Amino acid sequence: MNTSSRTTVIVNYVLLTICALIAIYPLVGVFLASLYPTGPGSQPSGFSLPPTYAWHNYVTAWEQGKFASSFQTSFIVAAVMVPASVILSVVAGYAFATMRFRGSQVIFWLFILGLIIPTEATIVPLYYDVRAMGLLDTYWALIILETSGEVAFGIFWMRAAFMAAPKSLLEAARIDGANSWQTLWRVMVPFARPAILTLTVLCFADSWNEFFLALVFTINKMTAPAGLASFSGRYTQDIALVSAGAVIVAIPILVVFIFFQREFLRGMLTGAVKG
Amino acid sequence: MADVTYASVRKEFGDVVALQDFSLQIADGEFVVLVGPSGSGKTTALRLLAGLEAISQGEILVGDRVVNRVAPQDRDIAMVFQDYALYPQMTVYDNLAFGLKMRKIPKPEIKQRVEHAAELLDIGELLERKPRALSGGQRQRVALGRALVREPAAFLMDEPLSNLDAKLRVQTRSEIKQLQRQVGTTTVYVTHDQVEAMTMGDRVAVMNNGLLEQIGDTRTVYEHPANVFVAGFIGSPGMAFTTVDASRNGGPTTLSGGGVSLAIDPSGATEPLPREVTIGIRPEHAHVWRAGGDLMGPVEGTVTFVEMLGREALVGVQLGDGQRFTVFADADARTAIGDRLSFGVERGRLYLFDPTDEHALGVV
Repeated sequence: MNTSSRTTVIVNYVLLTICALIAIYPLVGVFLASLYPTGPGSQPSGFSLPPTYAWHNYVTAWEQGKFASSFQTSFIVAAVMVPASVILSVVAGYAFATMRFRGSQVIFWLFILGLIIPTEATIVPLYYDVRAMGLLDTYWALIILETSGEVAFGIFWMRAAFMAAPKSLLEAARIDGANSWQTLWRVMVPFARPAILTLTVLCFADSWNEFFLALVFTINKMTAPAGLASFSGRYTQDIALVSAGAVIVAIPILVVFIFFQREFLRGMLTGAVKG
Repeated sequence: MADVTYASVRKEFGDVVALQDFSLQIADGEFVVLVGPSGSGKTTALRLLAGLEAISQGEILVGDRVVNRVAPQDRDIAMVFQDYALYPQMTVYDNLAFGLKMRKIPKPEIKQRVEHAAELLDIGELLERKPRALSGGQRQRVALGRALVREPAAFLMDEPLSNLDAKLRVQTRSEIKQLQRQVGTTTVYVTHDQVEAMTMGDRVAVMNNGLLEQIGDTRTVYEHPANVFVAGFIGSPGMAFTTVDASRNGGPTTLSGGGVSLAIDPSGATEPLPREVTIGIRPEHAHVWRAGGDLMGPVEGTVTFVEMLGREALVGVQLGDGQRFTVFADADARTAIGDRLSFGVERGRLYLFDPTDEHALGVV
């Protein structure tokens, strides 16, 4: 390695370390704050270690924040929404990537429109639609709305992933006697596995983090972030407890991400790096 | 196994005519090579046969059956792709077995056929590996094996050697040819490499601009090219051309112009010569002029390059009209760039073409 490339490497690492610290610091800060003792006189700070480690803050937060109930909602919604979004995205993305049919361009751009228009812009008519369907304050309201939002991105994502496959792979499968359905599941899905797993992680994160829709469409069936918001509303004074709640809400995403980390990175890099 | 027939096939992509009036009969068990530069329509012709593109006009038959509207999987053909198109997530075994599984062949038979193909191709040890763990040559064999296990009516091969290095290409070339003789399956092979075409094909179909220029066995295509394009394309280094005046003042016919002065016996020509003819000379038929030798000539020009090949040398000679010819010379011939050099052509090896439409007028 010559001097200039070594300098480049060092500069890169320094920059990356700084960025990583900037990204990680708030998380560590919240975690430290969550361990401060509660009650008057306690001044939680994310900049220093707590005088004593109050691990029971987590139990208190879990109980008082009724996270058992909001976690249940989030899990149920995610359990339906994630597979539904991924399967719909895979099937539709495959069609857009490999099949020629009348209006495919127009339909594809309609989906992209769904990606561009923010939910906030359509929330009022959506509210009336959901009310007309009698789905207010149900899991279904969240599942349907989240899935439809996610599919817009998912189709875009899977179409790109399938288009990255060599055309000859599809043709070989066709000549080998596979129909479209068999080609999709036996050739293309294994090929696009990193992209599909990445989409799964992104879907789960989006579903788990859902706040706005839950705020508007549910009262008793709040998602975890909505539950956290109402919890922090009640305990604004107690930063330690609110921090503990925030950590609790973040844990599932952290677990899922760590679990899929390798595939996630590979999925993100597909297309960027020729492999 | 079956014969394959193209009958006046035409293919258009929008306004572009990729293939026109393409007719070709390939006998059962024959190895036909479609060769031509890029854009000549050779791959299009193959993809039409595979069913990967729809025919604009004409008919394609596999055996007696018109397959124009038959789906690729029902045409009983197998294809080897340029990039091999192996299924990356499957083992070699599964890659070979996939086509048979899709056709619902019983498992014991699949196993037997895969193992037989693996043995033929010497890839028995690789069956449990994934494609990414294989070398280029091994992948190429797996791709061949995938076609082989299907026991189809015809093999279609689309430049299957172009991703291999030069040495492996030469080796695999003869292996494919040998394998094809062994199984006797009709094969249509596409390449842009005329050496590959000449060494592999029972017959060679030379294509250019969507047209079939000539079809024939390798000897015919080399010795009796139908036109200037085929003459220039087949052979390496290629034939060189120049246009000269043909005159006949009572005596023998003389070709003259631009440093050329050749007295020829026009009886070898297939038709009366026009006033102007294009002559073509292959390097292997041109030799340094020696008085009293049995060559036609001399043709005189300036040496533009000398390429030492070891046993002999290739010498580039530029004529007065700017046309360049290549001449084989002895390795010890003392020639340098800028020298004047005269050369002659072997009798019966001077190719004549009509300059207006470039068709062959015969060899003298």
